[in-house]
Amino acid sequence: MVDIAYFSLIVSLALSGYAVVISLLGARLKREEMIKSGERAVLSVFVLLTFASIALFHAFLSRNFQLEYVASYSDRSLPTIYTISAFWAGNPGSMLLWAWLLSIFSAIVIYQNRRKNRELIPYILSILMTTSVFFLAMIIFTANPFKQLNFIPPDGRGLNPMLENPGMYLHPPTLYLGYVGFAIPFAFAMAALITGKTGEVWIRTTRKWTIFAWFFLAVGNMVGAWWAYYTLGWGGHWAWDPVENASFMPWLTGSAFLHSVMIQEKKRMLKTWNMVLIIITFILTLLGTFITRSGVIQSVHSFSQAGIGPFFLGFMGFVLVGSLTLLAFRLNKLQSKGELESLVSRESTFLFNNLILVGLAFAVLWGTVFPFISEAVKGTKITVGPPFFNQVATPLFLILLLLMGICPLIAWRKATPSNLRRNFIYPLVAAIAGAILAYIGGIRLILVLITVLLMIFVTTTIVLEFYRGTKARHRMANENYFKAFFTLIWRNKRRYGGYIIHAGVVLLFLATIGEGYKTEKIVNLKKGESVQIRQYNLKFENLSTFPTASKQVAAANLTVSNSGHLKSITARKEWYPKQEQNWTRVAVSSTLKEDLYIIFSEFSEKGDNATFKIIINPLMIWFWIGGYVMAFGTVIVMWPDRREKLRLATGYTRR
Amino acid sequence: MFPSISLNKQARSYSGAFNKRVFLATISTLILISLFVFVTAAQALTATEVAKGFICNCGCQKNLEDCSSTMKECGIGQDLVKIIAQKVSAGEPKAQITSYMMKNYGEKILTAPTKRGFNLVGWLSPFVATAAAAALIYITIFRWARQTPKLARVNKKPGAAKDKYSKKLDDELKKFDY
Repeated sequence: MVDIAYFSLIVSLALSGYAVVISLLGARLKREEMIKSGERAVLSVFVLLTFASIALFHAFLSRNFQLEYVASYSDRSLPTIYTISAFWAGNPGSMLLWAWLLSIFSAIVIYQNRRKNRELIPYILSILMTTSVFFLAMIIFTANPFKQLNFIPPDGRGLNPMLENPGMYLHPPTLYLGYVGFAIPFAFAMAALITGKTGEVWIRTTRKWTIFAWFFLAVGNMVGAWWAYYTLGWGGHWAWDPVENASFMPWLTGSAFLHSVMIQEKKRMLKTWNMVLIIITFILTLLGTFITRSGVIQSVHSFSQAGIGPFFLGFMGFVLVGSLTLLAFRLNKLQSKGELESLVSRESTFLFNNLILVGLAFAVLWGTVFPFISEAVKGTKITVGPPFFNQVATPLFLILLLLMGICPLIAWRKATPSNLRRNFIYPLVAAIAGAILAYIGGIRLILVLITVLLMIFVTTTIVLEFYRGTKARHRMANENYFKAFFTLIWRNKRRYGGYIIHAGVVLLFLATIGEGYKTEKIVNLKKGESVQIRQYNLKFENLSTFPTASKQVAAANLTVSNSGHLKSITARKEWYPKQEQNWTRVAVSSTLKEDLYIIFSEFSEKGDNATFKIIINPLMIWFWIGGYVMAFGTVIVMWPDRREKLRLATGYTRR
Repeated sequence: MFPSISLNKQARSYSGAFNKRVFLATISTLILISLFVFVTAAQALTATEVAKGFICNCGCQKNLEDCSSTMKECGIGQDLVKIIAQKVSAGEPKAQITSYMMKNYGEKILTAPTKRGFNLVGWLSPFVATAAAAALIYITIFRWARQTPKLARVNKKPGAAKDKYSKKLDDELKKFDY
């Protein structure tokens, strides 16, 4: 099976190359049978890579340690659940996952476009399959998951303990769904440039793909943050690590793209800018894979090998130069037909929203690569860590929050002073009153007060949008308020789903406020001894040590008393002899108000005393709730909408 | 039906001045927020806070405080934190401790580059690039707004009541939306 799987990779590479050539030839010579042949080649790649992936899953589950990859990332003691996720624990499996997802998406694109966009399809497939050729070549020549050892080891080396976490089930696949998902709008954009069909068709056709990719990138980032919070054990969820930055950047530019395409759909403007945004986003997804997989940048998330870096850089250069050259050739076809009447209009705020999102992506990229620039210029190495990103990104984030509030309040086309007065008065009054109340309530950190002010401003604008919409429906359709509210959302999924996503973002900001009020304490406790931290009383009950198949566990059992409520929690320290690695499993007790986060640092040989780092993280849970709210909003936006289809089909633009 | 040219000009100049005022007020607010946040970065006061300014060179990618308090097995982190604690209790200012650490372990030990010399390129580039792009957008929108055909705007005196046709159009659009 393994040999056939390897052979299927080689055939997939050949077929991907064939699909590129035959599709381009078919388009050039206008020969439908050639185009069909290209499509069949793509479908064959999908079948072959599905087989190869199943074979790799099978190799892991059957403990086929003759495969170097299986022996390197699993062992007999690894639970089945993590044996499955070991598929994407290293470079070969991750790259195969990339290529496999790409083949699945390509097959879906063929199915979706079997009766439409026929002129674009050969170019779309040739672009997707060029990417497939790159990844398959990398797999076969540098990271072959089916490479066999010339002996069968009795057991494997086991999985990195950091990856033995439920987060690892979701984090890499969701991120890759996002990364690979952006290949589809990119391919459509390039096909639009090649064919000169630079209108709104490619944007409308790929809107769902774009939201899909954006959604999974968001989920991937959230799950990554969740994994870092519960697994890395330093008390935070985002450390501006290069790998975190790598997945955050395409999300930022993808967000800019999602907003910017609305202007093209409504006003036929920003065609060049949208092309630039999708090119940047796709290249950033490649950069994300490159940073995670090449090992060029030291990171806590980098589970990689050196050697693939130059190939990745070469491919990214090829994509960048190729797409920008195409763009340059078609600039005359990308002239805007729309009009913009005023600086103070919703269109302008969208542009500034784009500016801040792209500015943020640039700031993150700049901070990530600045150590290399500095070393090249000064010859000395520097570290660019959280203090840099916090100081540079925070103002931009706050401006983004402000724009998120301003945007829905400003009229399309042109806002008049009376329009501004009418729309801004309530949010402004609510925001100022909220900030004053927060100050009276004891908040003195000026940055927190600014954030509170902006959060209330945005929340009020969102509430007002729902209120005005519901009221209008109640009046026009004579529906009761309850029904009017839900019909409003149901009939305008894109608009109100978007506002729900914005509400989720506000909750993320709410969670970050808590950073300013974090409490940390390091305590050494004897067995039976207690410590009081704020309203929490922590008692170290006992320490139990026991071996498992893969590790030696030391579990510190604690009783937490919070205003009379008792709760038992366990913080663990684990020693993995095979990997010679120590690992900490934190204990977290969450409420809506705050998280009690306990890190088990060390213990005495007799087990009668232990050291803990105790952190109280205010408002932390709102970060995860914000993520769920964003996901809920995205589901609403993505839900099939007959009216939206009709609107787009009739070429409706609100002017 | 159409207002006179002079009225139209007056309306347009009023509208332009209003646009500029709103735009300048917004940009000033944004710049003030940026400056404020950038300048008011928290100052370290305790040994713990000082230790958070340095990265542990054991390869864990955590700052010294996080590494030493959560990974007691990291000997390097423990030793460095002890040195910092001694210096803080001896009353040494943060700048002096920082230069000691930089002298012995290089600039790489800092969690963020200093705000001096070439490093300023690193610190300021995102703001300069964003400000330059904002200026470019402003000029572009300004030009677009000027290029917009006169007929599209001719009958829209700012703040005035809409004519019956545009009001009807807006009503229709509202129905379509809600």
